[in-house]
Amino acid sequence: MVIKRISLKQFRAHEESVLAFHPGLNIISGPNGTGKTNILEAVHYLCLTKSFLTSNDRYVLRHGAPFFEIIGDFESSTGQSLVVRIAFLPGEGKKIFVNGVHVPRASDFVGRIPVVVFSPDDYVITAGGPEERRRFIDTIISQSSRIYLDDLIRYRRTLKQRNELLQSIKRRRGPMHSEQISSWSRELVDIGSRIIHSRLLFIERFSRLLDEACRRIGSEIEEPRIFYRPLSGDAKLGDVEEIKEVFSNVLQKCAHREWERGLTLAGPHRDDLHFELDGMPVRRFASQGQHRTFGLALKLAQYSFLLETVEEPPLLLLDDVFDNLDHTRIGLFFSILHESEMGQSLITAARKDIFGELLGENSDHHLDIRETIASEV
Amino acid sequence: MQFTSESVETLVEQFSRLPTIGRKTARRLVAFVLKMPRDQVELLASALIAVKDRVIHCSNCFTVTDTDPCPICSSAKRDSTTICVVEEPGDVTAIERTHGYNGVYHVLGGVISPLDGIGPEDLRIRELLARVQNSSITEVILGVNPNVEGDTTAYYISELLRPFDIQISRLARGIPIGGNLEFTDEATLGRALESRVAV
Ligand SMILES: [Zn+2]
Repeated sequence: MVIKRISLKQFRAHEESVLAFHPGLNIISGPNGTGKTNILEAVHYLCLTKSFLTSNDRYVLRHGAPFFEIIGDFESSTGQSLVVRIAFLPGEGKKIFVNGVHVPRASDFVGRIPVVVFSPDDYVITAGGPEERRRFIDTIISQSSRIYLDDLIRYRRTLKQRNELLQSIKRRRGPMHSEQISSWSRELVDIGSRIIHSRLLFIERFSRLLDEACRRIGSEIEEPRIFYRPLSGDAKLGDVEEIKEVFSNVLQKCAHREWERGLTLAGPHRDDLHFELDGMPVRRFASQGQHRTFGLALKLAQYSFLLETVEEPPLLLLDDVFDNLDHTRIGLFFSILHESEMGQSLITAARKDIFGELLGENSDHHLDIRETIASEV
Repeated sequence: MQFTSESVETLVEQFSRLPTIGRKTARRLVAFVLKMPRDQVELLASALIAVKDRVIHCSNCFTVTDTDPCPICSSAKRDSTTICVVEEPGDVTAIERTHGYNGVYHVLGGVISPLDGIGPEDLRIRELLARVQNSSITEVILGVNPNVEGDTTAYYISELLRPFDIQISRLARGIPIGGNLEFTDEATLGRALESRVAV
């Protein structure tokens, strides 16, 4: 998928901006505070109906503005055009229109425009808490499977309901309501086991792609391994039925603690992923640089996975990632982005001269944010 | 601010209390009412009053009705051994429109939802058990919406019904995930009824 043009109204720093993009590489440069990153953020909105910087739509609304609107003209690899419009009005929420038709649920749209974000914060996938790793894999699988996204939404709702029930029992110090809890547990186990199963299948495929990605970006990281041990156990889990059985048992075992704490204590919402390099756990033993390189490899592997699954080259959004790389790595990464299987990329950078000779003659790849916006509006 | 007509403002106020009606729509409705002939306005007003005065809940199935028991419960042509359990009276109308169901109904009045403070005791589940206990029911179809609250309510009820020797099934396929029975088209709902699954 390629984005040809974007228009922003009252979005972050942009009162009204229009930008046209090249189908290949695009460098968006300009001093900090001119809204470079917000252009990537807006493109991300058009792909996944949300920001990659905040979960609150209000924060991206320009200060004092009554609404924001983003319109993007996309073109698929088969030449189909797709016009996506997202409008947000505080109090009324977000509305999504695809080719002029209102899409009532975001999940009906997510996945049509696959996207991968590279950001300086990618090292948190390996260095941060388990929620970072869950978010990482959930974002990928959701983009490639509508069923997974639906299951995630349903799982979160079930979890909220079940936690509320546990809380209310705790507050009132009332009876256990075990019949009602077990009804919620059954729903939790049904949906949660499908999620765990999908994650296990995903990890199997993803490991191979991660291995490839690490080889492509150099020798600093070797023999990467990724594990997912759901339900904090060592049990070998096969099909969904098997997972359901284990999940039910685990829930039963922690029933008393759940009742004491008023909280659901087991399930895919508490699982973690583990990464190893050369047999050592990355989270504890990797250097700052290794975390960074590993983050880069994970994102490249994400790109390959989506390309294989969605059969539409994902958009690449690279937010200030080059600023932290040395000259050799910039060259290496640049050549990867130039490879034929890579789709369109939008790259922000404080200065374009960090790319040196790499940009060559193709000056139309480069958008100076101040000039572009001034000339297009 | 000064209104030229207090009566107009009062009606706007009343209309905008209705769901999905904003103030703008309310003003348009009032403008329309002002142009309507008096006898039509009277019909509208008395229909509103009648709905409150005459409509009651059927003491057997708890759907809305003018007569107790409701026409469905009192019809000799209906198969009273099969009960379809639904959330709201609107779902009864939706299933009736399919012309594909000849049993009777039981309206729960909602679904289990801790976030809304609704537990099983707030629904007409006890009444459903009484019906199954006291009459010759052979099948219960759980026609709740296919969302997490509907699923959980269906599990809860099916567990309570398990000791009885009856068939329990659930409307399943055909209804879009996260969908709502009341707004599902007849064809889809008809297929869902045919393909109900045992739970
Ligand atoms: Zn009745």
